Amino acid sequence: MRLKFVFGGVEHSVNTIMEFIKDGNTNFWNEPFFHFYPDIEKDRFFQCQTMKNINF
Amino acid sequence: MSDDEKHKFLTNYFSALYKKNKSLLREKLLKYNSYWQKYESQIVTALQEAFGINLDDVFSDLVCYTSFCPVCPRYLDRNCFNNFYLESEKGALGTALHEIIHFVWFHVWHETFRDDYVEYETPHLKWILSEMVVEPIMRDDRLGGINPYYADKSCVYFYFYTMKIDGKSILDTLYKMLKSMPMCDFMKAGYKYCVEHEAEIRKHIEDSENTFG
Repeated sequence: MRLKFVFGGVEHSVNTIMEFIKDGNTNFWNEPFFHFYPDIEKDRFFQCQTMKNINF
Repeated sequence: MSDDEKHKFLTNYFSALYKKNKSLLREKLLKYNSYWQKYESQIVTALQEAFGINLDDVFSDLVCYTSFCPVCPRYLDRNCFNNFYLESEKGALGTALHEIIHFVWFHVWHETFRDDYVEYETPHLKWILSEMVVEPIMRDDRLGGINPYYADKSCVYFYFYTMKIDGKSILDTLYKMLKSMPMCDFMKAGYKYCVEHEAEIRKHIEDSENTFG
């Protein structure tokens, strides 16, 4: 058995995050993300209809 | 926002974060790999004894992708999993231990039962059992002793620590079973126990998740 730690890249991170914050997931799954990135406001993230409405 | 808009927003956000944290990430990876190397032999020995297999010729290509996502999934088909970039080297080792127990568990499980890999994922009961058994296996001091999440009672989902069946901690019950029989027998007995108590197990998980946060 061998293990290596490598940086997964931005795209990998975003894809993983998207899995956990998708619609229908409970707070249990999406709360950690918003806890560690408090400048991304959860309610606004889910409610804003277009990118133009977001000014984090 | 649509999913595409969310993806675009997050890509911009984390591209900027990556630029700011390139050197931190480099340092973290050096520490993670070095700390893992320090304990690799101890971990392999403990897992080989726990599962009764030789790990020399399996999982020679495990990769941990350090990520900006604070939740750490594993991908059985690709021999990889994630950890969070803000973890210390001790935390990263703890995350790796948790995930590697899953890999070895399902390797032995599949060799034994030859069932469908789909059942190894949420929300199947086999997935739930695999998440529970991490804690009893981690009670080996060679594993739990180097995992800060074990000491902190957070090496498995929090609701397993409060889950009781017939007034007894399910983790304690599984530990007793684990210590009293070979791993393959434990897998059968543990799964049978979960099937018998499936409704209670699922209700506790659902209630806990719904009242989280």
